Amino acid sequence: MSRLGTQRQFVQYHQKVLSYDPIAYWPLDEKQGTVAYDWVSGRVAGAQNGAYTGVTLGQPGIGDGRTSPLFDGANDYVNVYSTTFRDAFNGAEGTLMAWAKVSGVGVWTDTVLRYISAIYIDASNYVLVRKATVANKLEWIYVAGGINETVSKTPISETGWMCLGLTWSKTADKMIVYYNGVQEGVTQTGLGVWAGNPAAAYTCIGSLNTTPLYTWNGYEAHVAVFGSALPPAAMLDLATV
Amino acid sequence: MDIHIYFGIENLNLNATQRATLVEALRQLGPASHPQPCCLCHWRTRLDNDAAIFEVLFNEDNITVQAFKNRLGNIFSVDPDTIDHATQQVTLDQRQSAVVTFSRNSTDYLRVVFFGYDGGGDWPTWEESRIETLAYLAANREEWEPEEP
Repeated sequence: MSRLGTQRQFVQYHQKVLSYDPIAYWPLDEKQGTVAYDWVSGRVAGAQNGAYTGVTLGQPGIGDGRTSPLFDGANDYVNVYSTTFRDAFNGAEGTLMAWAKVSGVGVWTDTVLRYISAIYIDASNYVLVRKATVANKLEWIYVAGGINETVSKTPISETGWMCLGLTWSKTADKMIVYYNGVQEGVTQTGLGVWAGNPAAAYTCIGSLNTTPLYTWNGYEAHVAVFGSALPPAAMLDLATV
Repeated sequence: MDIHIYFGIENLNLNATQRATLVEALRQLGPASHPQPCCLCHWRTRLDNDAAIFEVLFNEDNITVQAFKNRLGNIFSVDPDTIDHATQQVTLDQRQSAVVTFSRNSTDYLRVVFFGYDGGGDWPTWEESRIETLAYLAANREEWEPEEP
């Protein structure tokens, strides 16, 4: 009975994410193997599947009955670059969502930069969510054409799951970030002009790149990228399991 | 016995070809396939490319002092017994880690650190080794991570 209920809960969350028409969606719920399946391109032979390096699969998930990977903070990451994703990604209009959880409260004060997710073209064009070197600080950053839009949350010492969202729209000239479905900080305006495509070694979950630099120390789940800036109601919906 | 820990290497005087040969040999450690990605050999390279940290599930016989001497002997095409070593213990966080320096003809060529393993007692658990590795990375952040973008 409860097992069936849990399964239904996951289907509902998975369907919820897909209902917002992501361009890529990695639930990260595999229990074994090195493939991080993308549930969008899965319909076309997994053209956007990612590749796990080093993570420990099968860890507790966000409460949807599925599992998540543990990133060790040293050398683990998921490379989600593909030419399909590169071509689908829209640096001028989009949304990035990721669920993340630290492996322990000490991560917040370890003074190490740790990336939850990053799509990095060059120093003038990137979007990412990370834990700062400053203690108890989370940052959402969108840089386009060299113009930096940053929103921070501090102090933070959350040890449970966090649903982190970032929307950007050059058309509306707005960059908005969300923490557990609620807007964090003020709406950023004056967005620059995005240039370039995601780079092969710099489109990662749990790190900046495949070196790997700035590795996450904790868990992640349900990372999705959308081709438009989702409205606040959608971000709140996505933060609810 | 198979163990799952982290160890690091630092090139002291190997030339580029020798270093590449050693790294390639180390990248072959561990199983060719495994259900858990963490058990497959993976690594992180220092910014100057002269050091790396490996994590893998491997047979302990493959990372003994003698195993490294054998690798170096092969690289130099000499008898492994002509490779010397010196061991010291450092405490990075909670446990002692053995730091082994390999030399030949009084020249140091390679340093290996076994994170969380003191060189004589029980192997650490993966978590114990991970904690020591993170402590090492935090203490040497400037060498391993560039200024944030």
